[in-house]
Amino acid sequence: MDDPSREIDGMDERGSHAASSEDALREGLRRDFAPPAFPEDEIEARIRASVARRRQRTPRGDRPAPPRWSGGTAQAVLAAAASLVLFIGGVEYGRRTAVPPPAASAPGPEVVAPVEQAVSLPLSIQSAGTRYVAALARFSGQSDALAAEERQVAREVALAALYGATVELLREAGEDDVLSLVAEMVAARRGITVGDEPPPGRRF
Amino acid sequence: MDSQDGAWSILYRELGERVFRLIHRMTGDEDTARDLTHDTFVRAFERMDQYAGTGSVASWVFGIAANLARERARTFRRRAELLERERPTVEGTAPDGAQRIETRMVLEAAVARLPEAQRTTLLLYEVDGYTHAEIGEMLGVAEGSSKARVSRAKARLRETLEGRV
Repeated sequence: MDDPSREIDGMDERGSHAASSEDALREGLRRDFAPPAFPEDEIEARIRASVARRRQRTPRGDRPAPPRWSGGTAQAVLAAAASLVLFIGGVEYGRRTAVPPPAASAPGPEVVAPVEQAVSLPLSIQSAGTRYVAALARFSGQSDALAAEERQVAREVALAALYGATVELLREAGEDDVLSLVAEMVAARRGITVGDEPPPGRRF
Repeated sequence: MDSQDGAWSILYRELGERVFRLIHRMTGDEDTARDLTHDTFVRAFERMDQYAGTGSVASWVFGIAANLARERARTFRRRAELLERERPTVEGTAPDGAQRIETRMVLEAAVARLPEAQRTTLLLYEVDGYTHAEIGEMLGVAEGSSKARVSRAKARLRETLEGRV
């Protein structure tokens, strides 16, 4: 909260009298309007209890439907989905294709395969990601020409991808505040609770 | 952290104190600030699906807080009127203690009479120590507006309090 202007505030051309008047005013304000301590834990406990009560009271089916998407939001979510899918793709691909490192004492021709994989993996992810983003861009460009149901399906796919990727990342990363926030917000958009399956009737 | 806590818990840790200070300065009441800080984050949790995504999450949360605080701000105004009515008349040479009390009440009443936006901005800046950039984000205004409000508030106070504080 440092602010250089605070240091010279009041030291204007009116001189030292103005400065001392300014100081007196500031002193009076700080004396008479001293801020109370922030009761962080107390308020947090109250919020936690209120949120828990609301979660218990609100069955999934009664939750309000997600709002209509604005163009900006859709693009932001699609961009986020693309980024996360790229990352998840890399993690998943790496997990499935992981080869234990060869023993140092027995180097042989098999060493070549992991090295090639290490080089091609980022490229394959980049390629897949580029195609994915291009597909989303085409969707964005042609969205108006699609039937309402097709648009809805495409959006649900994008959201489902984002949600699935986020949950996978959470599994991979353990506790992560940012990922938790993304998962919660996407879940809210989809009308589900983090960790739940989509409501019956949803295809994705 | 429970994964179910997720969103509101992150928002609270990031923004909780600033929301509390903002509401405290808008309403002038610590208990109200506690209650409304709680209400702000519960409401943010309930309405997370209504976040439009067009501005920062912080601005959205501060907006919720400011709306809640404005609904209660009339309390502050009533208190100011009460202070004004009960202000003791100190004639002649009053004892030091009485003089100090009067000076304090005069200042409080003068601050309370400032327009709400000026008062909140002045106190967030001069007393709570936030920068103009931070205040701008909290109140949803430009940094320059925050500076101008502080400047106008001080000028007004000087005029009212000349020779008394």
